[in-house]
Amino acid sequence: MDNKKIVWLASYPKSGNTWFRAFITALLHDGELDINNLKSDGIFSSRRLFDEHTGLNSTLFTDDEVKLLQPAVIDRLAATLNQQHLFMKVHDAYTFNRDGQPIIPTTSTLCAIYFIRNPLDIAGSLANHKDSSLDEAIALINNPEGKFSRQDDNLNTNMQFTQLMLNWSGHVKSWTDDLPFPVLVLRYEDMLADTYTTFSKALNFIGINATQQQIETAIAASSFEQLQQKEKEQGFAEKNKNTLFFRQGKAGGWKNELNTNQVSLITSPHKTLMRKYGYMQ
Amino acid sequence: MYHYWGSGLTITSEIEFPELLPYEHTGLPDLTISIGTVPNQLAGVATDKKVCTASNPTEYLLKLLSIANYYASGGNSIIVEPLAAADDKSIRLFLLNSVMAAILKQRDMVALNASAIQYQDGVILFSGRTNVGKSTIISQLKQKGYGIFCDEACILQTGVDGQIRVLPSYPAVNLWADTFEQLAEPLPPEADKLRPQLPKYALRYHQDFNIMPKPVKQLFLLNDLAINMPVEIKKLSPVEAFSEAHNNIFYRQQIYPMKKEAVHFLNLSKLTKDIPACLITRTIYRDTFEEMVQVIENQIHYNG
Repeated sequence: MDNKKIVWLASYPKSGNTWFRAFITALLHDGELDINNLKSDGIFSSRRLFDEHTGLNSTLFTDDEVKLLQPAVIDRLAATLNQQHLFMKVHDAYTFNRDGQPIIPTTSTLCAIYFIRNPLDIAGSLANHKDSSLDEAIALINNPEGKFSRQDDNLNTNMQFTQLMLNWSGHVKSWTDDLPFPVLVLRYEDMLADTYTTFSKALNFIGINATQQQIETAIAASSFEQLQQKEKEQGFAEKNKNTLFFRQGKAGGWKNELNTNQVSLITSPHKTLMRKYGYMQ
Repeated sequence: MYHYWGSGLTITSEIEFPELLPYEHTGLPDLTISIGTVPNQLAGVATDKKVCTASNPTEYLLKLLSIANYYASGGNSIIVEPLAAADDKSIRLFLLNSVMAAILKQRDMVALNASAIQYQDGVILFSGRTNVGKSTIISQLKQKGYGIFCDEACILQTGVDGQIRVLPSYPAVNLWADTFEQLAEPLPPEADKLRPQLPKYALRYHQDFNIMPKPVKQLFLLNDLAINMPVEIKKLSPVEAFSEAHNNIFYRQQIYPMKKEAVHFLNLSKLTKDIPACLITRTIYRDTFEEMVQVIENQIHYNG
């Protein structure tokens, strides 16, 4: 079987990645959806995946060393799983390790879907996710060395490795510039406005055949209201803090959340890409 | 040559290991650690190849970035090929972990990810995955007057009476920097770091290290969850305790390519058959160690 089977589900956090994974899960399981067992064959930053495919204890490694080995870990994962597609979630920017190699391996990659969302809306959602203030979330969005799951003082104990995201524009550029595999960009706002068309486009891009009925059933099973209800009933293992992961699920909420200064702090450094993707005039 | 005791083995080494207990022994050592050139790869269809590592029932090869290459074979030999840019601590650390785990398995010895305190004429084991809090718990219990028996890994050994006893690995408790704040103790000097780049420190206790095998009095399995919850304790049946303990085999992934499932099944079955075992679950969202220690002490006294 061809080893080019990984479909990267890449995004800056809070940009629709989990929603799409819920949709894919429902689609591939005839509409059944367990939000604590979402269809992805892992997250790139998973410590468990690293330990399994190296047979080593990753807490003894530095982040730099982990980044050297992660491409081989992913290639081995792809080589050992006997399935057509592997869905891998990733919040890391597409960057290079200290040997100058991309941390995302090309060998096993089929394609990537890049989920993009208005950074003005990301701010509130990210603040909720991290249980932080809006200003702290904005600082992360603007930080050219921004990291997710970052641990203070080089501690290395979280279940996920530190994920270098760059700032929002840096993240978008890293995944949408000329990469050695096909990338489809999906806007979160389009996913909300016309879910059927947007998700169908993604399925065509990946090469998954599904009927209209199957797609509609999966969309219904993975609706925001369903996800929010299931999180309240069952909890959600992927959330970062003791807050609700599925918060609002809408576009334009920033107008009621951000003050003028906060809006300016985001639009000023990111206006080029915000205009490119229709988030600014 | 340096002579040591570690993980139940007498060791002769060309490399100095301050982590291990100096121990003069006569006759052939159980394990020889030498500096040399390792094979480029392992041959044979039974060889399982992972990223950086390869293993089969009698050999284990680790080629670790720019740190070192290691070749463990026959349960009695480790060849280390240090690489130019590596520091000594890193070279030793990886040897004492996955490479030593492979040697133990090659010798049919069973080790658990576990720490232990001394209790009555035996020990109480705390077993769980890496970073679940084993070292922190025994450090807190030490503050309450309990003696530390071991950290990181405990080796199970069947005595002449058929009962399981445990041996310690080596005399150090390894703690992340943030744990010292929880323990209200000062951060050790840089020299005590496990690796220069890692904020994890070794607290050595060579003077109090007891290498005599000890019976297990009680077994606590540790778990944490991403759910906001109070610390929970649940008494486990032998089958449940076996299942939890099996997840905590020291470098568990090695048992399959090395064909060591049976010996681990046998020893873990013996361990969990008659010993009181509890599962303690805590939330990852807050510091619960004081709460856990209270629950553990209550259970220790309840079991007697």
